[in-house]
Amino acid sequence: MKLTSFLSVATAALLAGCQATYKHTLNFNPAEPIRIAVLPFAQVDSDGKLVREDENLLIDNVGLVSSKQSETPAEYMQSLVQSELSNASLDVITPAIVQADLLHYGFAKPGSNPVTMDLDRVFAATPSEICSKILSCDAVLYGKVTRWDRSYYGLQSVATVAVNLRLVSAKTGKVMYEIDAEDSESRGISKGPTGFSNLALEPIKGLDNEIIQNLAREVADRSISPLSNRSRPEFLKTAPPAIIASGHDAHSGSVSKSGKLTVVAFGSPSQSATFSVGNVALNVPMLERAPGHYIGEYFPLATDSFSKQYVVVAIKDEYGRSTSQRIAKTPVSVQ
Amino acid sequence: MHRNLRAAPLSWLRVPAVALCAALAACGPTVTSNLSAGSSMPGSVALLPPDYSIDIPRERINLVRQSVINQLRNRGFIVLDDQAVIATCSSPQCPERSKLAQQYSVDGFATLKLDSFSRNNFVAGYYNELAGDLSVVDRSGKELVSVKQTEREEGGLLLQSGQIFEALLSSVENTGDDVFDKLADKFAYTIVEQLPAPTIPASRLAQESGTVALSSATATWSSPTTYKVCVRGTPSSFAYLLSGKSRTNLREVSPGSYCSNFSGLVAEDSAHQASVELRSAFGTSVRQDVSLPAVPPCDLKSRVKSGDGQVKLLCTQVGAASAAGCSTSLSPCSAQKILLFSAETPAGPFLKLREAASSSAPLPQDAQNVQVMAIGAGGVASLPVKADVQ
Repeated sequence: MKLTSFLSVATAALLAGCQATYKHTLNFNPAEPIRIAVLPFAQVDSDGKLVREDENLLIDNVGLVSSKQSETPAEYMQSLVQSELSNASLDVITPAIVQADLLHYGFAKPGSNPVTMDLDRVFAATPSEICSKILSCDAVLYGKVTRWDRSYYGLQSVATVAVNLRLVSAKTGKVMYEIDAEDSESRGISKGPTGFSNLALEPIKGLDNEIIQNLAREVADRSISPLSNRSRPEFLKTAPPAIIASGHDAHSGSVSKSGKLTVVAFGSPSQSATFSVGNVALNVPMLERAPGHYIGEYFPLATDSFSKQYVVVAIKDEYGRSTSQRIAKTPVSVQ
Repeated sequence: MHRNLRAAPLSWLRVPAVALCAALAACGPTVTSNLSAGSSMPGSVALLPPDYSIDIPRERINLVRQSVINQLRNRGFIVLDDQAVIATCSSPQCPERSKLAQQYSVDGFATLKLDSFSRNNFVAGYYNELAGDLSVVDRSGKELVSVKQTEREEGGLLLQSGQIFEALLSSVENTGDDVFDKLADKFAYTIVEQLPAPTIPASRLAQESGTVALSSATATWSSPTTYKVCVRGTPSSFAYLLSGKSRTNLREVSPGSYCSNFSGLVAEDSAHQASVELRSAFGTSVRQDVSLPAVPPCDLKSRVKSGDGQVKLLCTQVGAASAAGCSTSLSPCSAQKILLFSAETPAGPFLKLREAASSSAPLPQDAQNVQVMAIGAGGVASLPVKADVQ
């Protein structure tokens, strides 16, 4: 009797564990092609704290059953979400640009070799800071893998993937979209194996990383589907223009009236680049000397006189999408 | 029998379609007017800066705003140029609006708010929506007229004609952003059309229209590496050089005289034909073509020799009208001076190494990727050319 009760409860628990939950809130119009930056995903523990990525968190940690993968669950999940975002009407900044800019602005772990991202700092930065100082974007997408489990119960194995995605506006700070998604895939008795050999083998096959990867793909698909849009503007076929780095040569911030200010930028190739010095010199053209390498010069007029004006570089693509970057270095004065 | 079979599947569509059409038809612009009897709308207005803090792409906000400015002008308003508004106002609320009123004699201010914006795609149709309000206040801040409008564009099987071909066609057309362009134009037209037409004294109208004039435009080399573009015309206007896709401002150096220096490096890359534009504070503009200074015709490539720690210029003709001599002559040059540049990579950026008042100059030992410019009579510069080590 006790054994029967135990089996009933265990079966019920296993079956309950296979239920999918997708709870989302949508607080904006997903048809608006706002520009978003997908930040590196992280894996969190049951308390919601970021866990350190190490070898044990690689997708395959079940030897013999399946081949090893080089990506962590967080990295894998991010690549799936990035892929699914191509069905949405969002202007997604190229992942490589996000990565490069974050590292360029000091979000790397100090002393790490090879250089790795300091996720604690990335998640601590405000969307406003990321979108105005580092990247040119309207919103930031945070992704957390909250569960990535494969459980083996003898007659049954269950793979579970859970993620939390949050799209936060850089302009208002509001959560524009959030989803808590959890889904499971089981192998074994609940799928009704037909023989004794299958009864033993199916749960083991369920530990194959292909099962959990397919499940992750399903989770990513359903997590992004509320943002999907059939009528995407033409310009979303290409990535928005990007600026990876920019700088000027006024080290002290002072430019003499007989001198010049040289501004350089590195970003998307074959675009139209300009820079502005405060409100004084607007949209000074820059020359692309090599693919993605832009250079421009400002020569003061005798009548020019201003103090502490920032230099802003802008790159515009053929659709009129513009990306700008304020050169954080010293503001410029001409007196 | 055949007819009944075809009608049956469509019957369930009728109720929601009719309800939706009724709902859409019921929504026209809402106008709130506080204009007292006998008073009229301000003739000249400034559309205050856009508020980008909403979750709509900046480019789209700008597009709607420009459409509204165009429609206000079509409606007979004198609208202050955006350049003047943006240069004066520090925020969308523009606490400096009294300065606009004083400096440009603006009678009123307009504010455009885009409250919501949505575009939904149904299973068998689409439905685009743009909502916002335009309000006009007088100099004291009293609201005169406010117009709220939700502009919709419908299409597809449910919302358009019921014909499948039409539905497919309109759904296909909804894939580009030109749908938004049309919607923005319709929104601007409808919302501005509700404003009472302004009454502008003929003298004021004459004063603001046709007042901008451009008398001359020149582009000349101002130094070995820069050229200066200058425009003479109506004082207190806004001047620009339009070259390629860029629109660079020229500064007013004295009343009616606008100039800016440009890098010869850029001239090398861009088309030599450009135009200058002079705009009045109220958007009246005049343009004139200007020829950017031609890059000196001599191509010095392969005529710069570096070796034995020296860079030697073998041919000049810098700035000469004919390149013929350049192509045949390899005699030591008569350039007034040469400039040496170097960079860490062939792509640059190049920094000046030294300047020599002759046709040869010593080359620093560690110099890499050296390029040379020759300066001829009158300060005319050659293109920078690579110094090939021979």
